[in-house]
Formats: sequence, C-alpha cells, structure tokens
Amino acid sequence: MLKTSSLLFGLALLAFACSSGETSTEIADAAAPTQDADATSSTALHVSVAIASAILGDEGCSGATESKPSGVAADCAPTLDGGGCTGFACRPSNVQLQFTADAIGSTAHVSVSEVLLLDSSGATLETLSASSPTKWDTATSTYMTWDQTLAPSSEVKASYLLSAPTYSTSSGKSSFSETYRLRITVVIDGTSVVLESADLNREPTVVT
Amino acid sequence: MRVLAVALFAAGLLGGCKRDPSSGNAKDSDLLAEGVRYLDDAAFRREQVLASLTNPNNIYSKQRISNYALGTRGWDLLPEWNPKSIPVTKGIAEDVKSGRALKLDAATLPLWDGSRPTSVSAWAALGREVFARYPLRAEPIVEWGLKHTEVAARAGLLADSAGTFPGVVAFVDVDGTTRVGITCALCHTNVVDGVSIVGEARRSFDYGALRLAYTSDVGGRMDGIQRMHAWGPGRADVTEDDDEDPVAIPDLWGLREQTFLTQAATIRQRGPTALAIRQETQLLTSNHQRLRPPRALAFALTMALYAFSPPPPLADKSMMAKHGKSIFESQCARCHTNGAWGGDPIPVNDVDTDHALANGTARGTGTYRTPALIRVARAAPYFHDGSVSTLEDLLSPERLLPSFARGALGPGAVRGHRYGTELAASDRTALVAYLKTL
Repeated sequence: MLKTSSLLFGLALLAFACSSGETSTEIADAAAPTQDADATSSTALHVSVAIASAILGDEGCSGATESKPSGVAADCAPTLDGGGCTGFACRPSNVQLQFTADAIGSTAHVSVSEVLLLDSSGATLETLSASSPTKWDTATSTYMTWDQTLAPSSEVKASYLLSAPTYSTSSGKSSFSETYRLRITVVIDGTSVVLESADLNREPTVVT
Repeated sequence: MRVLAVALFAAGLLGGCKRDPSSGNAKDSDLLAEGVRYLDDAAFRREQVLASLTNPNNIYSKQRISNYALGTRGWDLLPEWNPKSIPVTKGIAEDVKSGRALKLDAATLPLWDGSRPTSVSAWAALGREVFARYPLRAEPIVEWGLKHTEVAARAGLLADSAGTFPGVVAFVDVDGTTRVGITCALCHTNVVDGVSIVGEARRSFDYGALRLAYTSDVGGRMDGIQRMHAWGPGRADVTEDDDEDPVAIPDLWGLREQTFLTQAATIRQRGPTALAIRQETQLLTSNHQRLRPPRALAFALTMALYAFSPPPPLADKSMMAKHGKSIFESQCARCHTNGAWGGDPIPVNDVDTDHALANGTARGTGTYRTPALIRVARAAPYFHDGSVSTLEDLLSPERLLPSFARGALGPGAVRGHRYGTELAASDRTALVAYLKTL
C-alpha cells in the first residue's frame, strides 16, 4: 500500500517538477472578455453567440467599395469575399461568429449592429461597419451568402466583412505593435448582446 | 520503508528530469498514442499549447492563449476546411499566363478522405500531401509571378523537371473561387538542377523581390514595403511587430530531435503535439483565421516533418576531418547536443548575434535556439538572419572586425557566436572539414 501510494506520489512529483522547471513565467488561463453570450429573441428562440476569430486587415482596404483602396501595401486576394480589393493589393478586416440556437422558439433574425475598435485601454478608437454576411456551408466547404435568419436547433458559422480601420489616425503611431479589441453588438430579433474580442494585433505583412 | 521510498522517488525525480538524448527517437507507438490524445482530447490540447509557449507574453503566444482550445469560444468554433487543391503544373501556369479562368476538374476530391491512418508511415504519407497541397492562403503575388515568368524565375519561383511548381497550388478557396495559392513547400522545397529536395530551404526564393515587382506593376503603394529590398533571397520578416527582423528560411531536418522550435525558441517541443499545434495554428492564421484545418492533417504534417530525410552528407574520412571531430566534441558539443547537432536555447546576450528577433515583441524569448547542424554544409548563409556566407567566415575572427568585407548582408563586422573564432587557423580548417560531414 505504502509502495503504491508512494509511487503515485513520486510520479506526480516527477511530473510536476519536470513540467514546471523550465517555465519561468506563470501562464494564466485565457482572460475571458465577453467573447460569448446568450440571448432570447422575441420569438422565444434562445441563442448563444460567440466570437470565433477576428482579423484586423490593411488600412484602406474596404470590402464595401469596388474602387482602388488608398494607402494599401499588402497582399489581398483580388476577389476575396467579393470585396473591394479587385486587382489590387490589400487584405480586408473580418470577424467570424458562431450562432447556436436551441430547439424551442421560432426562427429569428440576427444582425451585427455595431463594431467598435478599441485600444488596449478599452477606449473607442473608431466605429467599423459589418457587411456581407456569409455562413459556412459544409457541403461545399465555402462561405455562402446568408440572410441572417437562424432556425431552431441550428448552428451557423458566420463571417462578416468589416470596414477598414484607419490606424494612422487612430493612434498616431505605428500600429503593428499596438493591441486592439473589437466590441461587437449583435441583435437577435430586437435583443442586443455585446461581445468583446480577446486582444488583437494587426495581421502581419507576411503571415506564416 | 518510507525513507527508502522517498530516496527512490528522489532518484526518479533526478533521472526523469535529465534531458533524454534519445527523446527524438520516441517509439512509433508513443507518437501514435500522443496523436490520439491531440486529436480527441481538448483538455490535453489546451494543456499542451500552454506548456509549449516559451514566453507567454509575446504576440505569438498571447494569440494562442486567447484563442486555442477554448471550446465555447475562439478558434475551436471555426469551420474545418478540407480543401480541393492540386499542384500547379506548367500547363496550369500557362493557363494563368494566358488569362484563362482557373477551374479544377469536377472530379477533384478534397485533400483528405476523412479516414485516420493507423501507422506512422501512413500518417507521414498523408502529411507530405498536406505539405505540398494544403493552401496557406491565396497568393496573388505568386499568381502574378506565373504570368511574369522571367521575374519569377529570378526570384526562385521555378518548376522542377517534372513540370510542377513546388509549393504552388490551384485550389477552391472558401469563397468558391478557384485561386492560386501557396503551401509549406514553397519555402521548404529546394529545386536543384530540376530535382525537388523536400524539406530543404529554398534559399533562392526571394519573396521580397517578387512582392516589390508585383506591387510596382499593379500600381500599389511602395512606401510600406521598401524594406523588402534588404531581405534578399531566402529571407523574410514573418513577425507580427514593427521590428525589422527578417530570418533565413530554415531547413526542416531533424525536427523530431529539437526541444525548441523556431530560431527564437518560441515553442518548446516535448512531443509531437507541440509541433502539431504549431502547424494547425499556422494553417489557420495564414488563411486569415476564417477556417481551421482538420487536426488530423496537422498531425499528419507533423509526422511528415519528422520523417523528412536530407540528402546524404559529404564523405570525408581524412585525418583533417577526424581532427575536426575531436575539436567539435571538445568545443561545440556542449551546446550542439542532440541527434541533429542542435540544442537548447542560449540567452541572446551570450550568443550575441543580432538581438532583434530574440528580443522582439512578436516571437521573442530572450534567447536563440542552438541550430541543428545536420547538413550544415548545404545550409549557407548562416545565423538566424543569414548574415554569414560560409562556415570559414563563421569561425573566422576577422568576421568580428569592422573591416570584415564578406558579410552576406554587406560589409562590416558580423557580431555574435564567438565560439570557435579563438581556435588556431589549422583547427578551424579541421573543424570546417568535419562540419561538412554532418
């Protein structure tokens, strides 16, 4: 008995010592700003919504316009999201949300009503617009145009294009090392929920 | 009895913490068992990503701590993408050049059939397909290069003798369009006399030059990318911060032996899960975070990377090389310890090569990993930033002087790694002869 318990204790001690020995800085679990939230629509549909990811793309790269963006210097897919980088070089900003609806209630309409770009202190830098809602279609492995309706017992992985941040006027200094957050207001048939992303940095010039 | 038990455990503790020089040769069954945990156990993935991040305060780590393996939020919620993707051949390149619309054959299947391999070799075979065909992203710069073949060839974007452009694919993107994309193989498959060497850095590939040419041609703004002129072939700055710290494309030999990954030792590798998470998150971020790869493909890629085999070394049984071996063992083997002649990280103030990457906010840890020396003779230029042209220069005391004129990045002293420069000239010659056999 002693041998067994001592052996277990020893193994635990060994595992602890070996796992902690090389780590000089404590890693806390991820801070949890409101990256996910629940709401019940006016149609009695209970919906969970969560941020899956967000990209802060290039300055001047807006998916909302077909004209040449100004002030761009990066590699945008020319037809990415049907956006406005046609034949030119920039990467748009975007956010991916997951909506999960319970079985009770009836179909609800969802939308993103406001997106705020925050600095690291939480101060608002500017308001971005969300457009071109798409949802993931497993059968074709593509994001397809979405009318933003959500049926009971459904799960939607959605993607929204964001208007281009103007980093140069936001902070007045170089933006790649700056930390940002997005505060996103989602409306579910009249009921608003506010999500906040984890810390974000601009997408690097060359991503690997 | 208790005393004996405590003594046994203390001995076990010491023995267990001692670095195992054969850890890179974990049994296949161990690799497969850890693969199952990586694929099926979310709590294990979370534990492993936290354990693998050497410095939790750099941008690379923070992004993963905030998004990876969180279940109800973050990257776990992204759709899993199993793309249709084929290598770009000269024929497809000609279509692109001629302006014909890219379209995959209707019979083209997704990269993965959904079944999990059951042996390490089968995982590695799948992983080689991922390496060659899983898109990192659509890349209009490379698409442009297929239309401007002379510029592209000068930048190292070449077809091999089989008529395929390694690392360049035609694929159906997530918006349904068929695009030209790039894969791991673009930077990590060398083309020598028409032959592809999978896993070797393509040191002729000049991403910066290609991007500058593209941007100029399409009328884009140049002011933010002029710095790419200084990158030159085989180097790129892939970090998330403002620092100017381009690094040399590394060979992918001996990864199974490495206890740390990336030149700045950003990732601690205690097992294959660390590298699998590295690959999973790289495929995710490089695709602009709108999807994630099936984890099976990230694990397969890891098994392929572990299995990459370099070309044979130079044979040199001379007395000179034997003497060099003895010098290596007495002077170099303290740091270059593992089976690929790499080793643990060294504080940047000790090795004292350029500090930018090691201390950068993007991936910095305050250290540089002791690089693997396997096939070092083929790996010039040297140092993480490719600043030293030859092994002879690396060991020469002249390199440390302001009058040094042979630096790969220009004249002037190339600081750091003084180790070996104090040796007698004949010993340095012998050491180089031995290094060329690794």
